[in-house]
Amino acid sequence: MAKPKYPLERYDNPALAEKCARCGTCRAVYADNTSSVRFSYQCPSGTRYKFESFYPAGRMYLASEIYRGKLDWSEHLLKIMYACTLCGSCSELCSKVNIITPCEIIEDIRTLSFSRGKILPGHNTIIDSLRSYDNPWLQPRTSRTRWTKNLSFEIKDATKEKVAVLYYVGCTTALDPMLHGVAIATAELLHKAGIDFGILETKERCCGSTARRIGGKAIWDAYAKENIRQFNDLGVKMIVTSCAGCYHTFFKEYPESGEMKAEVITGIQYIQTLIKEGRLSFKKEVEMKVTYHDPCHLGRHTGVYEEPREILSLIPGIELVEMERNREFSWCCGGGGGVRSEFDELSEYTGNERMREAEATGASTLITHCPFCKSNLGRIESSLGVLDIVEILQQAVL
Amino acid sequence: MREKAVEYIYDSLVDIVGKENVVTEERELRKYGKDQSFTKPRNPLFAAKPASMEEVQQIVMMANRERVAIFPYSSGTNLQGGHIPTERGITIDLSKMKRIHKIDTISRNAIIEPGVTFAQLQDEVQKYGLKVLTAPGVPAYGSVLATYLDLTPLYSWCLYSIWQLLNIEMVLPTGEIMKTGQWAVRSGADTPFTWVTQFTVINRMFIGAQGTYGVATAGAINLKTLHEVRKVIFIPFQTIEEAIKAVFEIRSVEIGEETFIANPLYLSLMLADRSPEEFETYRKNLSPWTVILVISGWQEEAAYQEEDLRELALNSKFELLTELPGIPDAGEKILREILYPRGNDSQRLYKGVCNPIFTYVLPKQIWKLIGITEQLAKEYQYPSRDIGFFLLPLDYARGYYFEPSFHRNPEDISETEKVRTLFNRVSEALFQEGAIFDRPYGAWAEMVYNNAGKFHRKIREIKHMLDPENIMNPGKLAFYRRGVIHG
Amino acid sequence: MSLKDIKNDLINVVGNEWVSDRYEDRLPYSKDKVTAMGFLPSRMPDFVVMPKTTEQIQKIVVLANRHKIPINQIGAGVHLLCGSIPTTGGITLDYKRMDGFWIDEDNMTVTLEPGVIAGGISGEFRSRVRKGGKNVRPYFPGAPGSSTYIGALIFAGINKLVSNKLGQGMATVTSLEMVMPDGSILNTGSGAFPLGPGKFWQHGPGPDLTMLPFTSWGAYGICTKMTMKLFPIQPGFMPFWATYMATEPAVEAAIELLHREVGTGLVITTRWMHCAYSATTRDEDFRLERAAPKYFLGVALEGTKRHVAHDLKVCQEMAKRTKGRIVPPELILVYGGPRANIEGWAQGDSCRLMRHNPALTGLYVYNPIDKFSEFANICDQTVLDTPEWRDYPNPGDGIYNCGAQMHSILYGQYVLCEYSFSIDHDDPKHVTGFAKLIQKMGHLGWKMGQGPYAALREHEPADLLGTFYDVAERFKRLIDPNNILNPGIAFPNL
Repeated sequence: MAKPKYPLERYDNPALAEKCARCGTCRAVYADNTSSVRFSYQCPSGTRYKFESFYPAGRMYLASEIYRGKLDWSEHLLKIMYACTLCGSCSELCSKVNIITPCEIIEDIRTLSFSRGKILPGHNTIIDSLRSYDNPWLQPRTSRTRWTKNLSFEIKDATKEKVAVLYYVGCTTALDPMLHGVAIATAELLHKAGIDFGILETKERCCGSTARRIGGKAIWDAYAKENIRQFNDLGVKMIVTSCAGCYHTFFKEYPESGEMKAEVITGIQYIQTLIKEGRLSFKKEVEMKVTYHDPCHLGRHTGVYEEPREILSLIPGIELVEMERNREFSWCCGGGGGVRSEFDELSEYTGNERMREAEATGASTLITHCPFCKSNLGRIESSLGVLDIVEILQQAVL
Repeated sequence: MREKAVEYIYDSLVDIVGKENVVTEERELRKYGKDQSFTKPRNPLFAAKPASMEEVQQIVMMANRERVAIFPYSSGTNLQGGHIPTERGITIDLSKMKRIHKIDTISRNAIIEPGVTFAQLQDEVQKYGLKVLTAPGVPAYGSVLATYLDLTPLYSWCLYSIWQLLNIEMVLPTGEIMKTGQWAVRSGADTPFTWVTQFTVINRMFIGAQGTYGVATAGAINLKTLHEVRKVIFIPFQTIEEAIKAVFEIRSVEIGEETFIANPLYLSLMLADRSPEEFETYRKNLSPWTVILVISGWQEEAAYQEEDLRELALNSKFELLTELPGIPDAGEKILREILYPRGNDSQRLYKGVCNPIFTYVLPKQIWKLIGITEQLAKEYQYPSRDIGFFLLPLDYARGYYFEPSFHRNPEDISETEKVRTLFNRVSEALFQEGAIFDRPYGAWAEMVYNNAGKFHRKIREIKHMLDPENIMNPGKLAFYRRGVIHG
Repeated sequence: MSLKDIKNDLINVVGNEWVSDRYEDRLPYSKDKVTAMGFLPSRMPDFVVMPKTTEQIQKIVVLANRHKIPINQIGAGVHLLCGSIPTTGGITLDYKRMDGFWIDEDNMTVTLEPGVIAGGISGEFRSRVRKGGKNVRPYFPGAPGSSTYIGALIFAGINKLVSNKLGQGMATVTSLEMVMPDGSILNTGSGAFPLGPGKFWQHGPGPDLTMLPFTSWGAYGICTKMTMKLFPIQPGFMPFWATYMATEPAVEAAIELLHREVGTGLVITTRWMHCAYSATTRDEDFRLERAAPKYFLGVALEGTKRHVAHDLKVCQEMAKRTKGRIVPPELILVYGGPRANIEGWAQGDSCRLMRHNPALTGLYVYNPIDKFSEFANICDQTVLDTPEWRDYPNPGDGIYNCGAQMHSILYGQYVLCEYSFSIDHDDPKHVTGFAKLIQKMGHLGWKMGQGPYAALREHEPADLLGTFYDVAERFKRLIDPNNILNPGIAFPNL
């Protein structure tokens, strides 16, 4: 994934958006990497709505008008700018041929609209929830630890006991009962490996990623600073997270706000290390034909493509088949960017497209490593089951 | 037409081209008024032989003023009555316009007038190691420009299926001069070879128009390299399906240049040059179907092509021959025929006249269409051994030019009538089976356009736009004849 | 009739979801790089409409005639010459919903709707080959990107390396389904024969109308289906590159190769373009340029293994004879140019040309090959004589971002000569410099050859093209008396 070529404060330079050559590379999988017409499209909102305004190039034209102060914040303009999952495909594809990062520019436009008070109703709810509960899902803080009741061991409270490794669960995984299995599997695997780890329990705050995606950058910044302070004070060496969104913001964005002393790693990367060190080994065969869905936050935004695949290839009994659009060309699940809260139809459409693509592989199960992906893809009607990779690992290891 | 008007037209023609270039004798006019096709013969009033584009223009302008029809004639070799007048008008005989304006040896293109024949041009370009692509059926005294304008299939179409006619200089029916494509700009005058310019359709729509949209007075055409090694390979087959399969394999990997398939009648007539008895002897020795392939290239190039062919023949189990049994110098004769065709003239050696049907078909249709032709021949008691079959694969053998032909003695009225009826019946049957007639001459025009009404409407509108007085080859392409409301 | 009435009529045809008159939706259809540079005005359509079927397009054309409202068409909108920017408002048709395609192996054709993207259909054929299907594929145009539509590219005359053997894309089209300006349907080529076995042959009954949409900027009709030939993929392939410091020896080698009909594709390309194609990042691009010679002669060799081996030997001999330096295989990995293009597939790399400065345009004329050197020299000299361009500092050091390139068509029947520039349209000084340059070049263009993109709007087309243009304009008036299709672009005086 290309890093932004220009410092953030230059995103409001209209000339940057105008460097879009409207070549259309962002609209489809790169020509060298296609395998069919059906699954060659990119940009979920453009593919769904078709009008140029919903594709990155159209948004760039609009962005330059916004930056020049020539456009009012109409309802339709807000729809254009917010009906985007921020999957990053446009920036990824554009980096192959040009020098701009449309995804970051779209996010910057959201920051601008947010700062002008143009907040969509569904996003207002998220903001209110963050203010009230430090999570976006209107759940009281005490709900964060419900998943721990099903553990086979007593998990440490990192705010009370010093631990080497902090397991940062993330709001979505912790608060959605459909995703508790992921947290449980992660914790059980770490415990099995003999890792000294704990969680923040009810003191875990949102990473701020959801706020940033919907334009609330100042809110994100406040969370970032607070979390960095907390992590540094706790003296943890490593932070393991189940959530690709949290990982993305910790790894790529938190350095903008402050210096985090701990190393940040995804659950699957850490478990891969444990397997290599021999602290975890496979006890059972898992007979399954699976396909792997690259979460945007994990793949394009942070470059983690191969580790999940390497692990899947090691699990006895697993047959991995790739979807046509994989790795940097992966099609979004539809769950991110604040889209599900405001444009659920687009979210469902996007997820539906992905599940059709998964079905075409002949696999019985879609594997991923992101709570948003699991949640959004899991609700689509399909012959395939949807699991997090740690859940498969749990079956093979424990 | 009133006598005074006829006199005026004659005087005008004399004024334009000179008395010696105006034909008035009915006997001499006959050559413009008939051919071996079943088109109703009709002599023109006069034939004029212009020597330049300007003279053509003047004739056309006069024809517009006097509302007299014009019928262009280059060499009269299209075999389907294309030049035959539909009323008593003026035939413009372009055979005097024989200049080769330019041979560009770098681009391998030439600029020629309509009277330039294949023989003339072939002689000239060979001096530069080049050759002009010829058409089976069109003799060497045929007009190159007219042949290409007509979209006549060429021997090398299995390899070069794009238009060999690049740009045209035209006299439009209104008398305006138009040059197409790159020729239209001053900078293109010397090298008017690009036909892909703005409004490419305006260039291309004059092709296949059977002279109804204007008179071509010069054309830029493409030439090819005449290779040092030219070797003919004959591949005999018992069934047409086997032959087609082999040709597909050969053309898929681009082995060789000219490729065609013929039945014994067609091939033996092509090879015989002395007497009817000679061809009967040849015919007996030939397989039901023969594929003729020309390996063409420089030494090493020809060598690897032969190796590729041998490998293919081994894998696909067909036989390669460099000569035909009982036919001396068959290979040489084929090479000569390709460069300097006798064309349909060789087919006439049998009975005097050979009437071919021009179609395009898919490979999978061929055996059925052969069957239909033979079945109909049987119904009309026409011997099937008197049917010639000639097949020319299109590029990569995706389709074929398919030409059944019927032989007759023109003095035998009964046979002529039989062949006429059979010719029309077979044409209709092939059309109903999906054969494509892209050169809808004579009766084919009605047959085709009754089924392609929308297309016909469009080309009629274009005709009306270009030729409001309907003087240019009226009645062809099922356009209305003069005196009938058109458009 | 008000715009509101027209909108309602459009909604009745395609549905509410697929019609927009919102400013935000119309804005992206009013601009491209040329309007960004201020060379031509940016103008909005009144509506953007997304039809799904041919019948819907027919109805839209009929209502456009009734309301006398113009129709504009857009493919990917990348053409960089304002072909898709409206001149007088109207309805812009965007064909993204029309992405149907039909592969007919019997006829060896593929039929495409206008919204089929080049990259997608390329992948479709690649995977069919991988899965053991027939080894065939259509002609894929080169520029400019993964998601542009084949039809639009071919209609504009965009080339590809394989044009040496097959000619330009339009020469591989066998049949079109067109909606004419009166709303009727016209089928061309063998598609005009309703009883015919398929659309395998490009000649229809009589006068050839298959070229209707080509290089006519949408003025003559709307193509709703295009049928193209499929070609066998040859068993052997190899790219050949040799480098030169001047065009003359490269041309000498090329002429010999063309006479021997070597190569599916043959190109003489300029340093900056070749390096831009070859590099994966901007920095790599500049590094490659600093080490690269001025010109690259490239030949795509295809055929049986013997054929390729033979042709490679011929290329090597020619290069040695003309003192070109043969690029060894390991360097071809680095200086490979537009690889996918060379290998016969759709390519995404064209847009890498945008990477220096994100606007690319130039002079495109067709000429015989022996005029290419003259063309290159005149253009180079013009650049040197234009200080506003020559002296402008540029991330690529100025000297790298313009140059001449040539593609051969049909073994040298004629060649496409290009002189391309990359421009920082952001900077008014650079744009001014370019404007001065392109004005000189534009005049030169008509003197040096003729191309499909000659900016007719700057010249009096009737003066330049005479009766040819007049007949084209009469034809336009004949079939589009209300001048509703793309008015003002191909025929500025109508």
